[in-house]
Amino acid sequence: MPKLVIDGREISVPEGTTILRAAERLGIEIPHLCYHPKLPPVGLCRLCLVEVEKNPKLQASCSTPVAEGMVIHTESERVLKARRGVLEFLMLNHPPDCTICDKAGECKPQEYVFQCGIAESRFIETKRVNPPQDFGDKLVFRVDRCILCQRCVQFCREIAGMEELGVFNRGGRSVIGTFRGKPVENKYSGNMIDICPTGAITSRDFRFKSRVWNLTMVPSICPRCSNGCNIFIEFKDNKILRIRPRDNEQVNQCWICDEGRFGHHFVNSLDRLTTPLIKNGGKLSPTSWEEALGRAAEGLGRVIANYGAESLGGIGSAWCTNEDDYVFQKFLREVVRTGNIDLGKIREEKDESYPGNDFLIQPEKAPNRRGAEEMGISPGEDCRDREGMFKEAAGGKIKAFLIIGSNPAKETGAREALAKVEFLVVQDLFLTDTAKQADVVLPAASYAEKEGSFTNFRGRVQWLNRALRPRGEARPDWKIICELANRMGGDFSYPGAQEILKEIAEKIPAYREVSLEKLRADGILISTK
Amino acid sequence: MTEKIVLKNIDIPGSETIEVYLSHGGYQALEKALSGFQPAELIEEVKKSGLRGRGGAGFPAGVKWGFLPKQTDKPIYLVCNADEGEPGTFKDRYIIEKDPHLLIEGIIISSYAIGAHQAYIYIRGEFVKGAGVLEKAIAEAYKKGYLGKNILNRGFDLDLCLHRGAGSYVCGEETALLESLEGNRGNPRLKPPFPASVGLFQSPTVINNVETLANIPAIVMKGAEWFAGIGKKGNTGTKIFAVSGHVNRPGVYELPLGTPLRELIYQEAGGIPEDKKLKAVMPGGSSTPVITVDEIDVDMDFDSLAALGTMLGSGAVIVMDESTCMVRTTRRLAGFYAHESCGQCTPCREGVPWMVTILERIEKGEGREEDPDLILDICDNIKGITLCPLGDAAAMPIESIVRKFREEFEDHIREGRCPSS
Repeated sequence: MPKLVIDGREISVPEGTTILRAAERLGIEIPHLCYHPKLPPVGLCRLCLVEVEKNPKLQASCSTPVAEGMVIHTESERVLKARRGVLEFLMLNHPPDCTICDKAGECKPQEYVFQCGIAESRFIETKRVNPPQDFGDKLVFRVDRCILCQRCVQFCREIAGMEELGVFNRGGRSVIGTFRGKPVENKYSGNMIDICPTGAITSRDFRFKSRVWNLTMVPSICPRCSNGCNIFIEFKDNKILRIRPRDNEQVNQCWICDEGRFGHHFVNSLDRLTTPLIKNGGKLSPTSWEEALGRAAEGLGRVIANYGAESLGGIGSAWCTNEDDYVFQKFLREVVRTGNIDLGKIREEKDESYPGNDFLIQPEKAPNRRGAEEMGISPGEDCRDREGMFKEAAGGKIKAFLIIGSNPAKETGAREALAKVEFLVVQDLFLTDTAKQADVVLPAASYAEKEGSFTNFRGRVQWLNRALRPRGEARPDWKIICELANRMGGDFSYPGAQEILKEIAEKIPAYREVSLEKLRADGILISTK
Repeated sequence: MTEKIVLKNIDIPGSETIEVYLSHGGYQALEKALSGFQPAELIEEVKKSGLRGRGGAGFPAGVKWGFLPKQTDKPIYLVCNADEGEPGTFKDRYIIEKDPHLLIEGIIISSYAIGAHQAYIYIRGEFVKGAGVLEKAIAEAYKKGYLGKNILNRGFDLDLCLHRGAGSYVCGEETALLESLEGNRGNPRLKPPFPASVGLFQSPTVINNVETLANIPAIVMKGAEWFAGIGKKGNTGTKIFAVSGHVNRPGVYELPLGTPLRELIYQEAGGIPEDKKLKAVMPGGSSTPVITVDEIDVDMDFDSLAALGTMLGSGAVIVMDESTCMVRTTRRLAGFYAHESCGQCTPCREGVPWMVTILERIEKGEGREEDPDLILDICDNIKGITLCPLGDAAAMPIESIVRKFREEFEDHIREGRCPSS
């Protein structure tokens, strides 16, 4: 391990560590723009230059490996002069439009210019205008704000695996553009919004919606597939405005896919259910929780009383948290006393023809299939699975369903079967085809509106924090089930999802190591079967 | 008249043909090298000769060869840099067009010395005639068995391939040249790694200038000591000076290193037309800081010019008489470098065009008092900061002109026009 001195402080780092990384370990941030920890260093911006004693030239700290005995200065007069010079060059042709730039507050050059205290411009010439470039539907590219760090070009090549961007022309006329006017189509393109150090690449979805410093950030887990990418939900006025990746080396490094980034609008949708609904005279109409839960308990109770517990089926959800599903199956097994439990159908999609590097997206389009199964969302001994339940419902043996977070009415056979049952309770975010057939519809909270955990396809259990107040009167699924259970003779008194998690850790062997603390950090990999 | 080494054949009719080359002792050095030297001995011989690179940097050629890894499972490449693009430079062109076999022989011997079995000549795209001459010469050398398998029955194989550039100045920078040779856009690479370890196709590579390689046969034939006896200590051998601008006899002059600049201009090149006064000289191409009339007693060699704060560069001597407007010259220079900047790194991409606009303003009569200092500071913010030497190549001459001819800039600014027009 080479030993070196940075700004008077001694440090030993492994062979091959760059100066920039070594400085980071000492808490010294050397300003840099083109360097990104997940991309190979290219040394283009020249901002990270530092003074290495005995070396006549300043060295690019992003690409220069440390050597034994190096003495490095990151704030010497020479370094600061060069740094100011580079920043001045970068700002020459950069528009002073921070007031309307989405990147303001997160813009690296803005921060560095502020740090260096460059107040006045020595540039009195006309700013250069290069031809505009179109990046397609998701990204807005502003050529004048681009500082040509080429992070985006590198991202496409190295991470997304689709060479979609290049540098065209040369010298001061250099522009980043797509090939032959093709739009950017890789499934990870939104990451370029994050890694662009300026406002050159912004999000068409988010732009002009808010100043970033007015957003509240809450750590959560992406629900769009079973990979469990770590995200920040960023919101204002109880509305999600954007989703950004949250670092987790074990899962998604610092990336997320476009589906996860831009696919959050369902949470804010005006079509969300906001109150419970009950069917009166064949029509669903809004009602109070009290009445809806009463009606649900009564209806399910009647079916059990008349036909026995085995006449009731429960469909759990891979979209719900472990806590939701745990309480759901506990209710069915311990209160209703049926093992007719299975998981709603999950959409599977694998794009074999995708030319890029599909490194995060899992074919399973739900966040918690594995967790749901491990919570016990699977048929008990001699009990019916999903298909069996619908077959028996069609045959008249199963008389009632409690369905949370899935829409079987879309499946052939299931729709007819559901039409035959005497009583149907559905918990969902939307008035799905299944909900439309229900006697009682209970509005559920989305992933952004509740706490809980998801287990990704690899078995990593991770924690979701509540970001938003639930839409309208919607409630977390586990809470609804508890209310229902208590009305049907159960005693489910969990103060919150955290207490359910504790019970999961006690009851389910694979989850014995699980604790809120660990889940809130990087998550925990449960012991595999 | 001093002995010529690299231009010795150029006046012989038909000098570009292999027959004429052979009849004047051609390829004898190759025979001697392959039969009388181990590769390591050749490297030692070139080190002893003191031969320094003739492309611009003046790095000792033998030492450069010695940087190759001793053990490697990759092929070693020799690349001849024939991308002669430095403004004012037209020396390699003479060798290429008039004595291509001297270059080829130098390449074969050098390849043998460094263990290369594939060599390339990267020739400037504009050298259409030279490319044709070289193509023909390479074919002749293959036919005679100087290239290909088992050269001269000595068990040494070498293929030589000519590659034409596409007209970019920066491709004369060795790593940009390698990128271009690989078929990529000619952008300079981040160094380290240096080409000696990771060069062409990720393999160890030596890149030498045409004139450097053309010196090798004579060093083999006559010995390192003979070569080291020419010129000055540490600056051995001859150098081709390409003299242009305000002189009576512009052209190429092969003279010992250390020849005084005054002698080169006033004797060899015949002095300045109409007996005008000398104003400035760029001693080694457009990238080298200017010399004023008070400084022309300097010896034309690497170390003497470095001591004066300038460089021998490619040996392209650009002579400017008293009628030259230094503001216009600077603007033209800056314009060239702005045009040729690859645009990868910030200081070169942004700083050089900025200087162009400032200089244009001064020329148009819209200069400001603070502009000369501003230009000097921009130069200071470019020099040594850029990814490749192109930034330095732009900043160094501009800085030197503004420093040494500052009053001319001030006159322009004060009078709002060019005082000499």
